[in-house]
Amino acid sequence: MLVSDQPLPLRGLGPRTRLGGLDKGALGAADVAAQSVSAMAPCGAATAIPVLVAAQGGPVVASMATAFAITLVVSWLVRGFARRVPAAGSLYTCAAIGVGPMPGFLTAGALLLGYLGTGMFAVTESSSFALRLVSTAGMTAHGWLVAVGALGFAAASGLVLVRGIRLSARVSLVTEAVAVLLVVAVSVWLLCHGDGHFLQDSTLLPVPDVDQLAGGIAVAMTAFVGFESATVLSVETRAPLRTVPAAVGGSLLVGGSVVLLATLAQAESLGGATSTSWFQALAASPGGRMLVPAVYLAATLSFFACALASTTAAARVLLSLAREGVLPEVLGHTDLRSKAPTVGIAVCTATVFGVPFAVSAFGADPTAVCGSLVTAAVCGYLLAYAALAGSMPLMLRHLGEPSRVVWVVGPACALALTAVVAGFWGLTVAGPSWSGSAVSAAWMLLWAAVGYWVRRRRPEAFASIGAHSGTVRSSVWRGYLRSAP
Amino acid sequence: MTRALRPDAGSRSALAALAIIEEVAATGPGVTALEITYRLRMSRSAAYRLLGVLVESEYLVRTPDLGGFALGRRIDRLVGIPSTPADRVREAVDAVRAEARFGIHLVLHRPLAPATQPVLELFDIDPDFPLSDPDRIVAEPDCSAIGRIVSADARGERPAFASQRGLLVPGHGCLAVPIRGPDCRLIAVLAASAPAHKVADSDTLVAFLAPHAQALAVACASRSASTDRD
Repeated sequence: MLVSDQPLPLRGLGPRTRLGGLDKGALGAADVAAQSVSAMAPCGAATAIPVLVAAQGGPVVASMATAFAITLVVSWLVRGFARRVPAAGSLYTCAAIGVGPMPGFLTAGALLLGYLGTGMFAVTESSSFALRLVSTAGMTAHGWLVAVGALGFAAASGLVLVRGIRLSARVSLVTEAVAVLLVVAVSVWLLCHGDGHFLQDSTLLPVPDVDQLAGGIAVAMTAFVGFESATVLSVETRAPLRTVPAAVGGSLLVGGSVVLLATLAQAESLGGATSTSWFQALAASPGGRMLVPAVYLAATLSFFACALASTTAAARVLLSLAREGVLPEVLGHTDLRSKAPTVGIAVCTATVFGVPFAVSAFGADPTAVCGSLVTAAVCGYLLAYAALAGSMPLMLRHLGEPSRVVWVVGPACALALTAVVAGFWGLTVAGPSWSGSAVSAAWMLLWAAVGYWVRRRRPEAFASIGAHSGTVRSSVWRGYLRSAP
Repeated sequence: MTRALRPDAGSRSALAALAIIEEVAATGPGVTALEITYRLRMSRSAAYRLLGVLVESEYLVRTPDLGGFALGRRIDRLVGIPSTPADRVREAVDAVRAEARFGIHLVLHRPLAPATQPVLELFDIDPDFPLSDPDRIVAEPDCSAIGRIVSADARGERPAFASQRGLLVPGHGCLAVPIRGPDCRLIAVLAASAPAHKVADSDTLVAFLAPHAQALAVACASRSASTDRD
């Protein structure tokens, strides 16, 4: 019963995969869906993105709806991957299997940019909304309170993440559920108390200009990114090939619906000549004023869950790269008790909380910092989505399942996303968030340089990029393992 | 076939799924989805969908290179391959390995073996992290954690674990826990060979191995009972 006795296609079958050590099968459907919904941070997106789209000059409802439609196509492709390959490396594993190690490595860089950028943005926004919540309660938001708040969030997040994926997934689930319910309640209240005619006008507003619509779509995409992050938990999910695709699709539908509902609720105030956030719309009426703290609380909770989810996802991507031998081995360490990738979590938590803290300490404007962080993150996500869409037909061919539909949809989607990311980059590099665009370009160049260096120094490890937690000895028919007579 | 005799859509899907399993069994591991569609004259979409369902439900698996399909563990029950006591022991050891990023070995203890045979049998050595010097471990008990457990047992001691660091390979070590049968007799030793710093944190390593050692005690006891019967 030796591995070498096995038929050729089963060679390489062993007792463990390269992604061993994680808490295999610990998570159910709700936990995994919470990861995706949290990474999307629909409540935060609902409060921030429609205002940004309006500020861009794009038609709010049309831009958000088109961006949602594009994201649905991407989610269909992501589900096609998650249905076939369980991998902690998420989209980069797909690119590596389909096109090769270097595109896979570059996609990993884009994903890390997306996850870490979103995490930093979420931390900054979470602290900011927590302070506003404190202010509405009548307390003064002192400078030291900001530092204490950020450190408190960091400590809470680190503690939850290191205790294991079960706990952190449950915390994300409960936090995000409360936040979503609060935002839905506020949106429904606004829709019920608004002017129906104005809403109809803003929804059916004629598209002013294709350029403005394209710019609006690019900004609106930021509201939906992150839905794919359930795929990083494939190893830790029960029945991942069934659960993870359902979680990716379901979370996009739930998160996207919440964002669209909130967009409609704000369309009245954003559709006219004035573009005010719904806080001002709420504050305009005595009943609505009571709901402002609820929105602040929802946004604080949602962004905290988003920081947790982003750290979780980034730590898994680092773990996968480390296990492939591309990044230092220590990043692939998993704790024997909690089965969490503790070193990766420590590095990601320090980055996600430390960078915004350091930037604030240097006296940067929080609004500009948030804009730059979200710009960099969105560039990362869109690049990773474009890579997934482009590599999907080749990945399916590698798996022996070529599909004509994917050969049409994949490259078309990749082209559309490349156009969106190029448009978005061009739009932001000339705006106040130019530092985000510059950082994203610098990061990708640096990551590519690291990739070339690793390929030269460790060619075998680099060529092995694409680790997945697939078939092991205990999952195949016993007949293959019996010795030949 | 008349319309009344033709199976309904659900039945056709079930028959197609069985035909796919049959095709994978007949062709052998590594058959691709495209080959299956050609051989069974199915539409690609139907074949891919059914293959996905069969993999999800563990009747089929993808080969380690992801390029093809092979029969999954649930087929064991379908074709009636019995699980032997030795299989159960190996599967219990593989369950430990699935969670560990270091070598996990199972060594059986045979105190009543004839004098010509060693007391230790290297029953299941980790293929990913092979032993550095298996002959020395069997011949010189005191150089390894496994041997130290056996020596202590021979002296009538009952240590919870034994360990060594740097004796066989510099910078590496080994920690072993005893596996005892229902009569408290030492029947096997479960060993973890890992970097020295991991072995130094013995509390964590013993806490990790303990539940697996209990599961192995049950599997090993049933194996030794069946061996005694034979």
